[in-house]
Amino acid sequence: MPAEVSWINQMLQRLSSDPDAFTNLYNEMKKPMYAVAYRITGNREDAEDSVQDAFLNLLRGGRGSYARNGRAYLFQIVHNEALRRLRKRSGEIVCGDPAEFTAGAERIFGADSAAGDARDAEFAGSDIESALCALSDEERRIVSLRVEAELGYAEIAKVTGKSLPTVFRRYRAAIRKMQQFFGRNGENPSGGKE
Amino acid sequence: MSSKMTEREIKEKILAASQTMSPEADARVLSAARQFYAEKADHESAKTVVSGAEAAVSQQESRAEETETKQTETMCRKSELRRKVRSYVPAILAAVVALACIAIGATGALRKKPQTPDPTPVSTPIPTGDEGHPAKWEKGVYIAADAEKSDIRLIPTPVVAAEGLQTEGYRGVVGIIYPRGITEQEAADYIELLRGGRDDPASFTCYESGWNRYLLTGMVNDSPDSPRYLIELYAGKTPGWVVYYTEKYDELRLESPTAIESLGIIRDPNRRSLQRNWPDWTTAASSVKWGGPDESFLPFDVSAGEMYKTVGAKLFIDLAAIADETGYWYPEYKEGAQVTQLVWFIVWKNRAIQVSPFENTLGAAWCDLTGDGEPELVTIGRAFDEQHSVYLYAYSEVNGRACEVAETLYTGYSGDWVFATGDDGALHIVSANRETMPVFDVRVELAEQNGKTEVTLRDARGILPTSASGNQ
Repeated sequence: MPAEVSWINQMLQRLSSDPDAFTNLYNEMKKPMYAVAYRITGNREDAEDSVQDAFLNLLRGGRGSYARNGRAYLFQIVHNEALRRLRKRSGEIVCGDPAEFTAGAERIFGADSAAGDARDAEFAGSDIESALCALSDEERRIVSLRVEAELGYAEIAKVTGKSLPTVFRRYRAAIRKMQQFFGRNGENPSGGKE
Repeated sequence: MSSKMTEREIKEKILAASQTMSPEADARVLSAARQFYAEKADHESAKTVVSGAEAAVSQQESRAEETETKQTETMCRKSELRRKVRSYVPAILAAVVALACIAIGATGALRKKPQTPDPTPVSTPIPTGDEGHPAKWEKGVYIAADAEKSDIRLIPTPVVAAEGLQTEGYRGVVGIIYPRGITEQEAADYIELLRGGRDDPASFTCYESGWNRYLLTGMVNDSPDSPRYLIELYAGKTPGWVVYYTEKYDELRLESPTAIESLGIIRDPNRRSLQRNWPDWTTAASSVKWGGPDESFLPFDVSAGEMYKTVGAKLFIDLAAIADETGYWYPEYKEGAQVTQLVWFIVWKNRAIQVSPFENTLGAAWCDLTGDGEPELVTIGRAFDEQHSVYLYAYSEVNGRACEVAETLYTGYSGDWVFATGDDGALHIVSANRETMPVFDVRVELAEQNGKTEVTLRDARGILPTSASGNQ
């Protein structure tokens, strides 16, 4: 279960004077925040730095206590921080190019990758990562905010600066793409291969 | 044959693959936080020390001054007087300067012509021919917003080109509809161009529907304190319509971009009355083939259904019904009609707002009824019996066919309702006021048995006693 917004707000209000509040908040939120940062940057070091900077900015800025939705606020900070790092680095996520992914998949599976029997076990082990990499950067961000951060569509819209219908549409498109991906690669819902 | 993975399974896979911070990174963050708190504590204690030292110095100075005063008091009263005068000099000078400033200002004001305040704080630069976008003014219908008037309106190009938006008193262009097809990116680029340097710009999305028309939707928020607006625009080859909701007045309006004036308030704040001064609307209606209530519900083609899905999360736009005194009627889209008759349902803040006075339909929600990861549209309706008890019911389209999924969800109160869906695919129906009205959390379960769709409704207490089955 994700941390309650009211609890997060409470921690944010106590943050400036209470080190325990920081520790509690960090321990509770570090995993989903890191997950989001990782999906944005595609890089472990950058993701860790993003989370670190997000929390330290939170401490230094002292504006967290004004946030109405502390949960969305935290993800907004780490989202922006991760994007900043990404832009600073090169602006490209390592796995973010669907064409690149497709080319990679074809290298592994052959050009007719729809044929399921040519599958590589090692590749299938990281199947979800591959599926995520097949998404556009924006779709991946939205999926991460939805699934890993467990934010609502309205919150994601706020975090990403997109309109809510756009967020919804992108999310649905991403899910469809991943369903197609798994369909193409022949994995059935029960986890087995055909 | 490959079976489709559900959304839930994909979510589970993503969560299972989620990584965590390394212990080293954890240690770094916590160490940096400890350092921050330590520095803060040091800073605060240093401040205490400094203020203590300052107090001590001040005390010493005061004592020294006291002694000195005692010594000089007896010597010379004149020197004390001089000191006092010196201490008043800055204040006297400041007063003189202030008086001089006031006098100068007053004189200047008398000489100046009276200034009229700029009535049009247009924040968006309007492109002109000089800026290299002359053609842009020739094609569209412009949307302008005025936070002070709590108003959003459409301005046809000729008006904009002739007078500019300043004369309209609006704060700037927040969007545009083209009378021809544009892609979402084109729309976004153009809106970006139009809105210029706005700090909190509107966010727009353009959808292509199955009718070669385009829906532009977005939020406008001029400042954090200003009312927010939801705009939906529907434009195409034929004159489009705009429906918008002003939060301040809790009011929906429908406007035609060809006739700038509002066609009327569709719903008053009490959501009861209906103004019928819709001349263009009547004209539009004549070109539409009408169907009766016995015809199939939601006579949409696939592409229209797709449009619903794209906008379904926030706002639900429904080709639904216009009621007249004789009953409920369903308009049917007619290919090639000059104007497509549309009546809108909007879900705003999870509350279904009904544009039409068709009381049978309260609103709609998206639920994954079949569990395949794709939400189905569930429409919630209500009916009254002779005792004025209300019956809520839900129906949906499954496999492309209208299917009543439930009836008589609740009997009793006819109030305001909020509809929302959960990630579990269940249809959650809750009352608008949880404290005074019953709360339902209904799971609609569908099961295929002998060609029939069995429906079971569950809430937190178990299977609802009023649950019913519907046949597909």
